[in-house]
Amino acid sequence: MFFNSLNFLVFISIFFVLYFSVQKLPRLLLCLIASYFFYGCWDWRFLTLIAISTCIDFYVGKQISYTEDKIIRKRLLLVSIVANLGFLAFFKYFNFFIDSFKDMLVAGGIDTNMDTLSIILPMGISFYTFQSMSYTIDIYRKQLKPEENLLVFATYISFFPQLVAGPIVRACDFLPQFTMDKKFNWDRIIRGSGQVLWGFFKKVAIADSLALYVDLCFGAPSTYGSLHLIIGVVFYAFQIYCDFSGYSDIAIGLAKMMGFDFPRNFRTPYFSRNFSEFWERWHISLSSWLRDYLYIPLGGNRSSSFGSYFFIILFFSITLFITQLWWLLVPATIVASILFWFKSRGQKQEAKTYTYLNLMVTMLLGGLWHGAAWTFLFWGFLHGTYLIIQRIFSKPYNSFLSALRVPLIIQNLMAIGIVFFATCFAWIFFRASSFDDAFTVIKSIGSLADFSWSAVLHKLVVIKCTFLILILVTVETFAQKYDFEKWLIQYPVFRVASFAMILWIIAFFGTFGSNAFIYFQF
Amino acid sequence: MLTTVKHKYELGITSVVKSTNKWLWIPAFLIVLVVGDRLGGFLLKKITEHSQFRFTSLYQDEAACDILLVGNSRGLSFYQPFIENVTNKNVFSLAYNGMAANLAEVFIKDYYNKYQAPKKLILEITFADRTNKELIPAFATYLPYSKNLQSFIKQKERKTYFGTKLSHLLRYNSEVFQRAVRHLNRSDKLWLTDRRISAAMLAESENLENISIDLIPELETSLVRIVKLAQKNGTKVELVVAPFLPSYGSALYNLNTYIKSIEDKTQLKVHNYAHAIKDPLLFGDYFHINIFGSEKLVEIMNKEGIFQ
Repeated sequence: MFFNSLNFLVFISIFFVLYFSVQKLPRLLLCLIASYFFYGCWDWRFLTLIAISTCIDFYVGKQISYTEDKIIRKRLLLVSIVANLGFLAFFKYFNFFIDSFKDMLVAGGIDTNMDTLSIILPMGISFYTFQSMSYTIDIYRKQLKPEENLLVFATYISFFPQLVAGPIVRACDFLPQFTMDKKFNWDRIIRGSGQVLWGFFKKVAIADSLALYVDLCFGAPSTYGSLHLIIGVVFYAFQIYCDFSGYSDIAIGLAKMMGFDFPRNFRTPYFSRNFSEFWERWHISLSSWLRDYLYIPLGGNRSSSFGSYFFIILFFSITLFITQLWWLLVPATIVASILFWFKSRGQKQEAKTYTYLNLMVTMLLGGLWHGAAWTFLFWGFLHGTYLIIQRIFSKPYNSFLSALRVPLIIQNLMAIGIVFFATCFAWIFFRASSFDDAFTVIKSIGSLADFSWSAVLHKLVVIKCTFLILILVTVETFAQKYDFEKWLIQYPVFRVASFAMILWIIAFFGTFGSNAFIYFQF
Repeated sequence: MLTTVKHKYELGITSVVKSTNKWLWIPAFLIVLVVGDRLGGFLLKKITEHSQFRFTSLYQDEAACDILLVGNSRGLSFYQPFIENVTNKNVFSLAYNGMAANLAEVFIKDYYNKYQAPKKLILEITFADRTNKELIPAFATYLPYSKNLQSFIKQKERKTYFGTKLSHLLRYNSEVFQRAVRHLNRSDKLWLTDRRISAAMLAESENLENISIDLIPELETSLVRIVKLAQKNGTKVELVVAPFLPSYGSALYNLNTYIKSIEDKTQLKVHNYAHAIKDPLLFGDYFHINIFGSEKLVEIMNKEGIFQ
C-alpha cells in the first residue's frame, strides 16, 4: 500500500476517524495495529522481523539501564547492534557480499560455484533498524531512559507514516511525545494536510513525471545524445529529491495531523553553497544519524579509531582484488604518504587528517547504506572526496574570489552551481545500474555528440517537467523567506486557494499509477 | 450575576461562531475546487477545439479525405504532404505513436460515423503487435466528443473513466492534450523530422538478433473488424508494413509469419516494405524512417499503385 494509492486514501480516512474517536490505550493499540496492517499489506511475513527487532531492543534497552557494569552494558549493546545489523546484513547485503567474494576469487583465478540466495529485501529495513539501534545506543550512552511500555515502543518502531522511508526519528525525540495528550487540533490538521498535499505534489506531479524521462535515459544510455542525457541527469537530481522529500513531507504531515512533531528531513538541498551544507540539508535524519552514531564514535575531527583504518583498508583491498586495477596502489600510496606527512606536521594537521579519514569512512558506509552495490559505494566515495576537497581548498578559493572582488551574489550563485554540478555527477553513479552504464552516460555527455534540441526526444515531457521544476524552485525559494504554514492558519483564503491550486496541478500534471517511492528499495 | 451570565452567553456565541468559521472553509474549499476544476476543464476543452491536431480535426468535422492513413508511429512514415503531392488527393492521418489496433478501431468507427467513407484506407499493420494500456487514458481528452471512445475507455481503463468524471482537468493531463496545444497554431501535417539515426544506435543495431513480432489476438480481431467496416462502406483497404532499419529488419525472424496470419484473416495482400529502404541515413531510429526516407517510400508506394 503506497501513499499515492487509492487504497491508502481509504485506509487513512478510516484511520483518522477512529484515531480521533478514541484516547490513550485504545489509540495506541489502533496506531500499532494500523502500522502492522500497513506494513503487512506489502508482505505480512516480514512483520515477524519488525516484531523480533522490537522485542530484542526493548529487552536490551531495559537490561542496559538496570546495570552499571560497563562490560555487561557493552555486551548488551553489542547484542542489539549485532541483531539489527545482522538482519540488515542478511536481507540487504548477503548476495552483495557473496557476489563480491566470488568476484574476488575469480579475479584470483579460483573458480567457484557459490550460489546466492533469492532474498526479498524487507521494505524500509534500513530505516527501522537504524531507528531501533539509536534507542539502545542512547540508553547505553545514558542519554535516554528505557521505555517501560512495550506497546509504546512497538508503535515507535513500526509507526506507519515513516516506517518504510523515514525520516529516521530518534527515540529521545519521539517516545516522549506518546505521553502527551493529543486532542483534535484544528491548526495541526491544517498545517499537516498542507504538508501532505505539498508532498503529493512533489511525488505525483514532479517525481513520477520526471521518472518517465529518466528511466528511458538510464535504460539505454548509449542510444541518446549528450543534451538528452544532460537533461536526464538533471531531471534525476530533481526526481530523487522530489520523490524522497515528497515522502518525508507526507510522513511528517500525517504525523503532525496525529499530534506528533517530526524533524525536517530536507531543507532545499540544491541551494547549498558547499558540500557540508548539502549534507545538513539532504536527508537530514540520516546524515545526523551517521554523524552521531558513526562519525563521532570513529573519532570525528579529533582522533581516529581502529574502525577508521579498518574500513578504508577493507574497501580499498576489495576494490583492488575485484577490479585488478593494481595501478591504483600508486595513487593510494601517494595519498597515504601525503596524509602521514601532513599528520606529522603538528596537532592541528593531525586532527585534520583524522577528519578526512573519518569523513571518507562515514560517506562510504553512508553510500553502502543506500544499497548493496558498488555504484552506491562509489557515490559515497565521491561525496567523501567532495567534502575533503572542500575542506582543503575552501579557504584559498574564497580568498581568491575575494581578491578578484567578485560580488557576493555571484560568489553564492557560483558555489550553488558547483555543488549542484558535482552532486549531479555523483547521482549518475547512484542511478546507473552498473559502472558501464554510468561511464556510458559520462562519455556520451563528455563527447557533446548530438548536443542539439532537435536530438532531444520527448520534448513535450521535457517542457512539462521543466515547468514543474520551476514551480517547485519558486515555491521553495519563497518558503525560505515566508512562513507559509503560518499563512495557512491565519488566512483562510490563502489556505483554500493554495490547497485547491495544488490539487488542480496534481490533476493536470500528475502521473498516476501508484509508482513506488525510490527510497522504499533502501 | 446577570452581567456574568450574559458574558458567558456572549463567549459561547463567539466560540460557536469561531468554530463554525473553522469548519466553513471546508465546503468553501470544495466549492472552489470543483468550480475551478470545471472552469479549467472548460477552458482546456476550448483550447483543444482550436487545435489543428489530427484528432481535434476528426471531431471538428475537418478530416474529410480521399485517403485515410492509420497506424502507430510507423504509420506516420507515410508523410501526408508527399502523398498529397503525388496523388493530388486529400489525405488524412489518424496514426499516432504507440497506437494499438483496438484504439485505432474506435477512431476509424468515429470517422465513418461522421464523414463520407474515404476511397482508400491504408493501414500500417504492425499496430497489432502490442497492446498499449498506457496510451488509452491519454485520449480521455476527446471523451466529450465520442461515445465509442467513452465506452472503450470505460471498458479498458475504468479508473481513468471515473476519474475524468470526477475531475475534468484530469482529461487534459496527457501527452495527447500537450500535442493538441503544440498544434494550436501549427499544422499537424508536417510531422516528420530530418533527424538521422545516431552513430551509436547504428553501431548497436549490428548486434541485434532474434527479435520477434507477435500478433496479439485481440488486436488482430480489431484489425479484421476495421477491414470489414471499411469494405462494407466501399473503401479499398491496403495493408502495409513500413520499412525497418535494415539490420533491425534482418533480426526480425517471424515477420513473414505475422504477415501471413493477417493475410489469412483479412483475405488481403500485405504490401511488405520492411526491407524497401536500405540506406541507414534515411532512418531516424530502428523503426522509423525520417523525412528523406518517407519521400523515397512514398515514391515506391506510388509506383506500385498503392494510392491509386
